[in-house]
Amino acid sequence: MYECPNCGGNLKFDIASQQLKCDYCLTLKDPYEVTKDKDAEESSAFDVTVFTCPQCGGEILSTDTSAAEFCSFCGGSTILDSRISKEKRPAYIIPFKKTKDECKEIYISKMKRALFAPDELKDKKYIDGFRGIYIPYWAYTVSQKGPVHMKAQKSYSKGNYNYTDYYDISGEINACYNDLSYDASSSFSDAISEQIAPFDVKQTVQFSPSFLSGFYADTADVDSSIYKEDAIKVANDSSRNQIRNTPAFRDLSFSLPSSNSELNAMLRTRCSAPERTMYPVWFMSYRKGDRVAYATVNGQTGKVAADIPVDPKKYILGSLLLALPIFLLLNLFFTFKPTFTLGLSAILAVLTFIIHMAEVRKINVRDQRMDDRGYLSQQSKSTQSSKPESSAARGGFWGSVLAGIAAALIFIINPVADYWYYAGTIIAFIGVLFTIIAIIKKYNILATRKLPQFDRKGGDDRA
Amino acid sequence: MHKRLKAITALLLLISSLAFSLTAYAEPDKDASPSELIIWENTETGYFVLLQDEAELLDAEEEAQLSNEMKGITSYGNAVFKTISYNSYSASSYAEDFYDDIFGQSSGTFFLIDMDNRELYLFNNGDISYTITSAYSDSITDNVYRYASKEDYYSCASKTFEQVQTLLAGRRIAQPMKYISNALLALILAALINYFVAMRTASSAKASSREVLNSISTQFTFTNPQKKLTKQDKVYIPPSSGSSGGRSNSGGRSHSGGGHRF
Repeated sequence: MYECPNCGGNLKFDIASQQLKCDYCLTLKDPYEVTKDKDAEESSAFDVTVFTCPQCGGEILSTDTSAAEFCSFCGGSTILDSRISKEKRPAYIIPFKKTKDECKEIYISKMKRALFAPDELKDKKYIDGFRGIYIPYWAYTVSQKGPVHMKAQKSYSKGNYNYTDYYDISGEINACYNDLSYDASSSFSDAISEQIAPFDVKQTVQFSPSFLSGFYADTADVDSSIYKEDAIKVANDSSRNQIRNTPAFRDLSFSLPSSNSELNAMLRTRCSAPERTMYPVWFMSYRKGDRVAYATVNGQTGKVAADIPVDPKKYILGSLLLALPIFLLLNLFFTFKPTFTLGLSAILAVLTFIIHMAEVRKINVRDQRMDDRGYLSQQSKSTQSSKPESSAARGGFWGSVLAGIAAALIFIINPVADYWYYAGTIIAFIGVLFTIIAIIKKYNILATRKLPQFDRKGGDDRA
Repeated sequence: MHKRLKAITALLLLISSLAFSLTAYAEPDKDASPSELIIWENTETGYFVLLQDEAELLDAEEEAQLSNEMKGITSYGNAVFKTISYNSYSASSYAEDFYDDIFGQSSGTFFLIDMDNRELYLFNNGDISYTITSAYSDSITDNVYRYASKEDYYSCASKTFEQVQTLLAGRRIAQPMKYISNALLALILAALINYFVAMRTASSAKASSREVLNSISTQFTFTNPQKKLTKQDKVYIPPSSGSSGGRSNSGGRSHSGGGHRF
């Protein structure tokens, strides 16, 4: 806690003024002027209270010692265990620019566009749960300097001949990509991090623990080497494209190595040791049964990333309403014979089947957090293995498969009467709807997450 | 006098064409008894009613009654009805060739009951085809195929020409096939489109590389760019010979048609 020099009240970071503000006498203080003795700039660590969730093991830091009432990661409402600890001091921070009210407005605006979201996600009580958290990031600086040599070619026709000219390309590169940032917290999903990105890192300021006053911070537990190759790849891709677009080379096609290591050697890429930074995120968790959904708002730019489930009832109602204008539009232009109608509906059933298979694959990737390298790196360190997702994500494809089989049978029997084809089309519709509802139910699994288990002190898989 | 002469000439031409077409189209059915042929001309418009029950599906009274009902169509074009018991082509090819042989490009409508393929086909030519489109032909044959399935061929033909006349008079006909098919397809399409809308509105896009690069401080220079030609490949491509053939159609002719099995 930072004490007000006037009244001894609690100084908290005020987003509007970008200064520390006293809750009682409204005194404003520069965040760099108000420091505890141990916050001295030369120190490589700063004092924090670490709150640990007894249910999921998630840790959250604060410069205040007052108890946190709920866990942001699993949505659990138990009072968190706390202990005083020292955290490594980040080099830079982007202070919050969006207030909680602005964040709520942005979120509400996003939810208005989410036509099929359950009403409970728009509930004011739920929206009030946004919590300002500084998420730790690794900021990589990638540089490329020196002579570059590449191969390129140009193909063209002239008369009755096809020509291919081969060239050696050379030049002097001098490039630098500063602060390519990747989240350093295993509890903060990479998918969310990529969705609320980018942060405008040109607005970073030197870190002072006083910026955290009134907010929470996540712990940095992901090794800095995890995202190094990602940062290098972004830099390499950008430089490669810019070299390709050099006016002298525009009509050439380049023969570039596909592997990052070969490209590193060619472009003389170097990545310096990453800096610890902290970026602001408004974070809200919504727990339903054994699943948790997150809504996050970039505390600097206001970009939203939210797990928004689709309400099946709203989806069905919306589909019926949408069918009316489609029906009127079809009537304006088309008269389909029953055989064609059944054929087309069978094709749409096959398309639905393909969509289903693709969605199931995505669900498995996300549910196992296979797309979250920070989380996986922590898991690989622990003995705890993640359990495979239950079979709830399977089975829905039978609707479209049966629709396809019914259509094929009718075409083989080749009856004269129309009602066979109408019946087949109705089966296809029911099959397609069944499969889509199954996909939506699976998507709703995708839109929520398993309760996190961070394998830290207190983490209990059965909680 | 001149008009009357023209009509007689047309009638003679029609009978001679028909005689030829009968031998051409009815050749394999040599044992069948001579089919009833009814020809009537609307002297005001010069269009004909032609009814030939080669498959002997109607009795004499039904033929007379049907030809009477078909007369109304001659205000717009020829009205032709034919039943056949043998056809080595598709019903649509037969209908188009038969009408073309008898009436050429003249406006008209031709309803064929093909017992060999067990198919009804409504062919329309010239001006009538602009009103009785292929979509309407499909709808009409779909509305009447049940009569043919029950072997009530008179009702089948009668209802067909009745609906043709209704449309030619600018009125509407029932199109249950169109509405049922479109309604079912609309439901399936809506379910799929709505799914994509739901997914689109529920998901958040990842930041693109361009957005990420714009948010950081970057510097890029590539000085002294050089390109040096090291090798050249040259492959001889022999000139292509000849040209692909094409087909031209007769052009200018419009027709429509639609059918249904029974």
